[in-house]
Amino acid sequence: MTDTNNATREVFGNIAPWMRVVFFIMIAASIAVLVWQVVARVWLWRKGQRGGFERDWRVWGRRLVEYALAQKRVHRKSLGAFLHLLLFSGFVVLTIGTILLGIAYDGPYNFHHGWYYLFYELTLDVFGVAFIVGCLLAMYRRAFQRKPSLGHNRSDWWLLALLLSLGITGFVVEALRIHYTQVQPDVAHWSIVGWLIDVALLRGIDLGSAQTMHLAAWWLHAILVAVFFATIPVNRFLHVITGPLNIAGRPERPMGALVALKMEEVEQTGRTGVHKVADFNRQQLLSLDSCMECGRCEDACPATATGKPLSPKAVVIDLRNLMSADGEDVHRTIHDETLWACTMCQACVQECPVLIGQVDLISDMRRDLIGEGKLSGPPAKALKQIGSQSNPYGRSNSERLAWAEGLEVPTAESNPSFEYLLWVGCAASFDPRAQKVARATAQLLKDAGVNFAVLGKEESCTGDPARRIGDEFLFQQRARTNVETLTRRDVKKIVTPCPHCYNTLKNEYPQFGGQYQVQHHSTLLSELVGTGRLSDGNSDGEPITLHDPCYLARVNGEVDATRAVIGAPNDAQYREMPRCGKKTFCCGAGGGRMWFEEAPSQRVSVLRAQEALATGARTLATACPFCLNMMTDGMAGVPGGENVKVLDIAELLLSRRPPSSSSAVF
Amino acid sequence: MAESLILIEHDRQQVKRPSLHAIALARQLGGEYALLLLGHGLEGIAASLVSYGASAVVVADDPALAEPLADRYAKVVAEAVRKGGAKTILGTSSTFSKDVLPRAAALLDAPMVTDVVAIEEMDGSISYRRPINAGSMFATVKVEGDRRILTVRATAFEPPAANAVPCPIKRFDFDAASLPNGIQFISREERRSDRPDLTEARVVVSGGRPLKDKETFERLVGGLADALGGAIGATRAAVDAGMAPNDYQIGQTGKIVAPELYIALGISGAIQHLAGIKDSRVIVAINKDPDAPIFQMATYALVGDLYEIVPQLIESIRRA
Repeated sequence: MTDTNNATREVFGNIAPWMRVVFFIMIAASIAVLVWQVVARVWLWRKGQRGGFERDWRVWGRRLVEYALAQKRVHRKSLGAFLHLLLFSGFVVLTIGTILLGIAYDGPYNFHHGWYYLFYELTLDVFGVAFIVGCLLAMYRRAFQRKPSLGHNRSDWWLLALLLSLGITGFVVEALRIHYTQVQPDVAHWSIVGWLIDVALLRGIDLGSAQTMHLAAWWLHAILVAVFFATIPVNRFLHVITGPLNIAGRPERPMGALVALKMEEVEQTGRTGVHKVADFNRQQLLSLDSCMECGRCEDACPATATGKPLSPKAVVIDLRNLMSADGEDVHRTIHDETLWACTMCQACVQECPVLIGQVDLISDMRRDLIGEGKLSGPPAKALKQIGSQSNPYGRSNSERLAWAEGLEVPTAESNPSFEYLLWVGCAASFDPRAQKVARATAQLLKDAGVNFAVLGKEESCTGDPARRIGDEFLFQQRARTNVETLTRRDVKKIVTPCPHCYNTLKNEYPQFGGQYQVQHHSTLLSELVGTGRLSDGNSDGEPITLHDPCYLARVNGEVDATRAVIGAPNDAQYREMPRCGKKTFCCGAGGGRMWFEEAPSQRVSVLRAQEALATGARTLATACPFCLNMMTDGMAGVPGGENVKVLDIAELLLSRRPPSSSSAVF
Repeated sequence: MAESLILIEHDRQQVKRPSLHAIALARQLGGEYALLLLGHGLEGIAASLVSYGASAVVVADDPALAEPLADRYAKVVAEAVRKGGAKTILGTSSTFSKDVLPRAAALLDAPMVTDVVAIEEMDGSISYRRPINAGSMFATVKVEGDRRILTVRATAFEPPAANAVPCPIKRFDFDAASLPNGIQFISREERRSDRPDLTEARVVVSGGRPLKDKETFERLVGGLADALGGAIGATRAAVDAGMAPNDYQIGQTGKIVAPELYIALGISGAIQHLAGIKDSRVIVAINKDPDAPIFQMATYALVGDLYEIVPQLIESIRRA
C-alpha cells in the first residue's frame, strides 16, 4: 500500500529537456500570436472617441463577480445555458489547475503532493468530464437544434472539435502516464477517468510502447493547446477575453437613461451622433468585440419577432465588421429602416450576457439620421409638434386640462402647497381614451385625500419620444423648459400614470439638474390601497391578466405595485402571460414607434394581444397610456379580441369600488 | 444655349401645375431656361407651355416614352442635358422627380440637392437652403462641379405667369432603340370616382371596423356620402381589413381632413385617427359603445347601431 501522503506525479517526466524547450517556445509563440491579434483589436477600439468606460473599480469588481464569474445573465432553463455552465466551469477549473501546477513546480515550494494532489487529480478529472460533455452537448445543439438566432459557421465546428480533442487527448495522456509509470491503484483511482481508461483499454500494452504512445499523445495535446491559443481571437472564444473587459468597462447608468449629448462637443465636432464607426466611443467598440453571437438579443427582440429588418445581433456584428473598414458610413450597411424599427424596449440589453448596450448603439446612429434629415412622415410631424405645440399630437397646449372637465382638479396655481405633482403626460391629456386614465387617477387621489396638483398648460412633453427617436436637441430643449417649470413650482414629489414620463423624469432629468422623487401611479395607488386610504374593491370574477409596460417593469424594475393595485396576489382568476414582469414583451409603441406606419403583419401589438388572449383573460390590465392604445388596437385585430376589455390599472381600481363614490366620475 | 433645363410633369394631357413652380427658381438663378417635356403625343401640352418665358420648349416625343419609366426617362434627360449644355437641371419635389432625377444625376455624375426652398449668394457662389431635421431646421448647402440637379418645394415658389412672347417648340431627337428596358410597364390603376376629393370635400363620411366588409362599407358609408354629396374616408383598421382602399385612410398615417362636416360611423376614436380629423368643423359620431373615446371629440354623439341608424339617415336625407 502506498502512503498517500507521498502521492504525487511526475511533471515532464517523459519529455526530454530539449523537447521541453521546444514546447515552451511553441506555447510562447502561440501566446504571442494571441496577444498580437488582441492588440490589433485594441488598436481598432482606440480609433473610437476617448472615454466611455466606467471608472469606479468597485463597480468593475461587483460586475465581474456577478456577470463574469456567477454568469448571472447566462443562467436560464435551456440546453445552451447548461452546456455553457459545463464548458465555462471546465475551462476555468482546468486553467486554474494548470496555473497551480506551474506555481508548484516553478515556485519556491512544491505543494503538489499528498492529499492536495489526490484532490487536485479528482477535481480536474471531474471538470475535464464536464468540459467534454459540454462540447458534446454543444455539438448536439448545433447539429440537431440549429437555433437560427445562434448562427452557424464552419468555424464553430472547428472550435468545438478543437476543444473536444483537447479534453480527450488530456485524458489519454493521463491514462498512458498512469499505465507506463505503474501508479498504484489507490493513488491512480483518484485520477478516475485516466484510471478507468487504463483499466478498460490499455491492459495489454507493454510499458515501452505505452511510454512512446504517451510521448506522441502529449505532443498532440501540446500542439492543440498552441493552436487553441493562437486562434482564440478569430473565433467565438474571443469573448473569454473581451466579455469580462466589457462587463467591467461598461459605464454604470440607469437602463432608462440615454447619454446626454454635450452641446459644446457638438459645436466642436459638428456631429450629433454616429456616422462612422469611429464616432462611437472606445467602450462601445470594445463591446462589439465582446459579442459571441449567442443570439439571445435577437430572440427577445420585438422587431425581429414581427419580421422587421432589425436584429440587435446583426447590428452588433455589422458594426464589428465595419470596425476594420476605415471611415465607412455606417448607414451604408445598417439601413435607416433597420434603425427606425427599434422600439427601445431594452429587451436585448437585458438579455445580453456581456452587457452590450445595443439600444445606445442604435440611439447614436438614430441621432445621426435625424441630424441628416432622414426622418419624414408622421414621426417627423410628431417631433415638429413637440417643438411647436409642446405635445406630439399637435393639439393646443391650452387644452391640456380638457380631460379634467367637471372634476375640479387642483392646479399648482390654485393649490401651491401641494405634496404631489400629478404629471399627466401628453397621452393622458389629449388622447380621449387615455384621458379616462387621467380622470380615474385624479379621482382616486382625491378620494384618498392626497394633497396634489397638476401643472395644466404649464406642463409640456417630457421629450421622451424626441430623445428616443434621436432628436437630442429637441429633447434637451423640452427637458430644460420642464426643469425650469418644476423648479419654479417647487416640485419635490411627482406621480404620473405614464411610464415614459416616469422614466424620463426620474432617470434623465437629473442630467439637467432636475432631481425629484418620482413615482409611477401604480406605486402610489398600491401604497394608498396598502394603508387603507383606498379600498381595493372586488374583482368581477372574470379571468384577468396584466401587460407590464417595458419602461415600468424592465427598465425601472417595478412589477409588484401594478399587480397589487389590481389585487392579483389574491385573485384566483389572475393569470400571468408567458412573458411577464421584467421579462415583459413590448406593445410596439416605444422608441417613437407610436408614430410610425406599420404593415398589419408587422405589428408587435397583435403578437402581444395573441399572447394575452391565450391566457383566457377577459380583461387585459396595463399601466401605460401607450400600451393601452396599442393593446386596444392589437385586441381589435385578433379574432376573439373584441371580447377582451383593455383597461389601465387606475380605471380597474376605480371601477371595482362601491358605486356611490365613483358614480360621479364618468 | 439655355443655362437651366426644367423638367415639366404632366398627366392625361394636362401639365401638373406644381411642376411649373420650378420656373421661379430658374428665373432667380438667371440666364435662359428651357422646358423639357417627355412622353408621347405631346403637341397639346407643348403648345400650352410656350408663354412661360422659356427660350424653348424641348419635346422628347416617342412611343417608347408613353409611360413614365424611370430608367428611360433618366437616360433621355441626361442626353438632353449633354446636348443642350444646361448647367442646372430643375424639377419639383414629387414621386416622379424622385424616381427619375437621381438616376439622371448618376448618369451625369452630377450632384443633386432636393427640396430646395430658397437660394443664397455666399462667397460669390450660389448655395441652396433645404429643410432638415424633419423641417425644424434649414441647412444651407453648396455643391461642387459645373452641373447640378435641383428639386424645389413647390410651396416655396410662386407659380409663374404665362404672359411672355411665345417661344419655339423644339423636337429633341434621340435613339429610342438604345433606351434601357430594365423596367416594364404592366398596367396603370387609378381610382376614378364621382365623389369629391377627400382632402377638399366639405362633407366626409368615414367608417371603421364594424362595417364588416367592402360591400357593407360601400352601402352604408358610400350611401350616406352620396346622399350628402361628400367624400369617403376610412380608419386604418377598415383599410387593413380590406373594406376600403388605402388612399381613403384618414389619420396619423393617412390623410388629414378638415371638412365642415365629418361623420364617423363605427369609429371608436383612437388618437391616431383623431389626428386626421381634429380640425373638422362639426364632428358627428355614431357608435353603439357609449364609452367610445370619439364621443369626447364629437359635436354630436349618436349612441346606437349604425346598421339601423345609417339606412334611416340615408332615407330621410333623400326624402328631404
